[in-house]
Amino acid sequence: MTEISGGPRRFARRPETKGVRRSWLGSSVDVASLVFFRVAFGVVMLAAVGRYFAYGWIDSLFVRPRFFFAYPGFEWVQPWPAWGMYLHFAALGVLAAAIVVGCFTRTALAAFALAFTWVHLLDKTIYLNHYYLVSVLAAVMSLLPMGAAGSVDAWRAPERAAARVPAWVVWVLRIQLALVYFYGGVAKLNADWLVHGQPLRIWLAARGDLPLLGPWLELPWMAYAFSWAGAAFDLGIAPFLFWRRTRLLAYGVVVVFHVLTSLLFPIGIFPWLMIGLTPIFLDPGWPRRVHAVARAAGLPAMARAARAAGASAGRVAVVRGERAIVAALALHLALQATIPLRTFVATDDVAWTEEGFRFAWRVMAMEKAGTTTFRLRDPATGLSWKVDPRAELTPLQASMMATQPDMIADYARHLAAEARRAGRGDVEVRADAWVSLNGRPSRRFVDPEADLAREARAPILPRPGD
Amino acid sequence: MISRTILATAVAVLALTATADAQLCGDADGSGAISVTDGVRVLRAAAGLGECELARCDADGSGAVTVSDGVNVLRAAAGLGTPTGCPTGGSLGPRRTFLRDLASAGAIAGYRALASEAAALEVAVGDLVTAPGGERLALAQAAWRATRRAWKVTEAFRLGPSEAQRTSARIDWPSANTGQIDAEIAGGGALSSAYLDTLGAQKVGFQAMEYFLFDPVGGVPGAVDRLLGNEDARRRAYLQALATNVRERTEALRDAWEPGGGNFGDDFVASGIGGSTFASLKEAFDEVVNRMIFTAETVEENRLGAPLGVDGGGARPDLVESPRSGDALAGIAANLQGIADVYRGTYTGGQATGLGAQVAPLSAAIDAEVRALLTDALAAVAAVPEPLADAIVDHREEALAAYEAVQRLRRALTVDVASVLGVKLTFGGNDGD
Repeated sequence: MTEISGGPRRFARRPETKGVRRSWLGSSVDVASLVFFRVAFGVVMLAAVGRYFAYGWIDSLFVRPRFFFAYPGFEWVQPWPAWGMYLHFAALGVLAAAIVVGCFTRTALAAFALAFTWVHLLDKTIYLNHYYLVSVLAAVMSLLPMGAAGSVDAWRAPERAAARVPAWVVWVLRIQLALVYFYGGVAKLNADWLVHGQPLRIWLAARGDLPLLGPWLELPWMAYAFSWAGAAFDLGIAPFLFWRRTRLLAYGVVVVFHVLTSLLFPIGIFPWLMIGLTPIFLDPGWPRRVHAVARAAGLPAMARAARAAGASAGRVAVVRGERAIVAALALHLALQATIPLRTFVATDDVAWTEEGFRFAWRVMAMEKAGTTTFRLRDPATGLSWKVDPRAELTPLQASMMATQPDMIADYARHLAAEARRAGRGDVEVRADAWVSLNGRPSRRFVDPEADLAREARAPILPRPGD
Repeated sequence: MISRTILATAVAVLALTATADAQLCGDADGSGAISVTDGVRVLRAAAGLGECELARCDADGSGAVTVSDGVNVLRAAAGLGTPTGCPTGGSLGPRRTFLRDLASAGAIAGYRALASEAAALEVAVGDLVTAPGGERLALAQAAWRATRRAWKVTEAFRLGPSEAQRTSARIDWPSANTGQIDAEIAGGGALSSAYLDTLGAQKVGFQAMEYFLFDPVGGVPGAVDRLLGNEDARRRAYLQALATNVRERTEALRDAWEPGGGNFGDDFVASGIGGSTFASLKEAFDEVVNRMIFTAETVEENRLGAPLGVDGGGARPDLVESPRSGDALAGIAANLQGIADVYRGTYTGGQATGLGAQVAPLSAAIDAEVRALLTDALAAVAAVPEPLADAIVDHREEALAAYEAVQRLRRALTVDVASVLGVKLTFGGNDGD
């Protein structure tokens, strides 16, 4: 695992200045931007955990539901009792704070990754791309020397503090973020987005009441402008962030873009997370420059904050088991680059079928709504009856299930199991599911004749034409 | 390069600001809100002491900035109205224009009509209890039906004062508890409207009145007979108090919306720009759509589906609303008409901007489909013969067709309309991406 270098012998193995090492992989960079990355991540996570408490989401998402849509193979992940869930989130808050200050950094990151992922494995209906990103980043960061500087760890053991880290550490994080943007852009390369301006037409029209911007958002061409600009941003921002000559300007665009999306859409922490993390693309020593500028400008507080991002001497953090970790992270990035491609194998219409939709960075790509009711039939007696899932599911669960075939089948099997428990034997379960996608009139979504009690995934009917 | 970008951004922001400010009628100084300063500015412009563009200052749409406009703006600044006449067509924006028309042509006009029908009902009931007879009973029954239908039409936009005053529960609880009503008659309570306000919902309102006015077994003679005798004095008093109570409740509702009363109409239109009930235009708009959907769902599940026994178990005539009068289908039709009015803009107060005008620019296909479904649902309900309690058994096919037509309509409103308007929780109950 990772370790912060401590003795002269280790330092001797890793020169302090750039360019000394021959290989690109072996070069080292300033630790400062990595420290900022860790602090920004921790701060946003603290805010995210706080929002769960403030908005009552712990209760509404994990305590109140009577049924959870488990991920295949993770049925064993079950919620704690109410007090346990609150304790779990309190622990997440403590871990986020530990990440911010860099206290037992590696352990805190690993524990945060596990605890956060555990929460989101409870129920498929709460899947969000940015929560997936949080899990992935926390796990990756737990393998990196994130506490090498600007941390309680470095303060407690100054002999282990470092001013530089291997360059690959920064590149792993950059590539991870670049993949999110890139596949977010790929998801937008479709006729709805580019030709019909959907779902932006719907989303922008709904925000017509915004001060100043509102009236403009209702203009028809604005949806196209946002659509094309959004796709271009997602596809193009990473290269511009990678390129030294444009990355500062590109970061400015990142800030403007995400502030705008935070104003227009209820996407919670995601914009702030990306604004906080994308400075990792800048020159790794940028916080020191901020420090110098702040000191020159007579801003001592800002200067102190910036100085805290870097340790003193030019020590380089050494990662124990570096080769294995690099190999693991390379494999991880290869999977990150490959997994989103499965949608193109599984289906030619992922927005309608949602096959391969999750874990593919299809961020804000469609507007889909549906309604589903179930009809159960006892083949022995011929009796049939209707079940409205809203009687058991929360509004969020019912609405998310209604547009996702695997969850429709999950719930159908649950209804069949409940009927068995109630002594009704093996009932047949059929769904009356209707979905509207990107402003099209709703159409029947799954085969109404299919007995879903015996299906792993609801058989999807073809999407209606335009 | 960077400085050019910053400059361009600043120019764009200024341009946005200048243009967007023109959207609020009465906001003479473009501050984003209507204040006394705006009123003074309009008055100065009216006196030739300054300039003010019509799009902001011609509050009454007369084509010129006059003292009258200044007064209107000052009234708005004091919370006494919302100027809407500025000649820019879309000065309010499409969704606020929809709310304005819903408030004026739909709600205020609708509640005026309701209160008027309720007043006529009170008079008719007064005539009946004064001298019970078949003819007067028929008039009272007709007035009851008309008042109930006027109420049912307004259920499609049952929000604001209606919810605050719990009007629905107080005048239109789904069923009456006749045993408890008989107990009240047998008791010693002063049977006044004020006393009825203290009783439970199952002892007041339309369903309680129906108990007195309709006798499915004895017919007109039976109903009249139960009001005639000296021993029936408390029955007559109860019925009179019920009619008065309904009249008072509906008037309170009307007054809450009236500009000269609670002025909820203006408060509603000013959502997000000074209105006190809804924090934003979106919140108010979403509430309207959700109310409409809720009404459709109530019709589908409670008023048609439950009696038909679509959840299994066969027909349930005991679940039909207003079973004594056989007015269930008329109530359902009025509910659907209310939904159609909100969607098409065909309000009691005249043709105005409906919800469909918001849907059509975003999806002409959905708009066309919803309009067709409204027509289908109204026709399907009209094709079911009253009373519904019999139809669910004797004309089950027609009744099921009506149920399915309403179901299709509800589905289109819930999924298509809400989705295309961004009304549902677009990104789910927590954050979304």
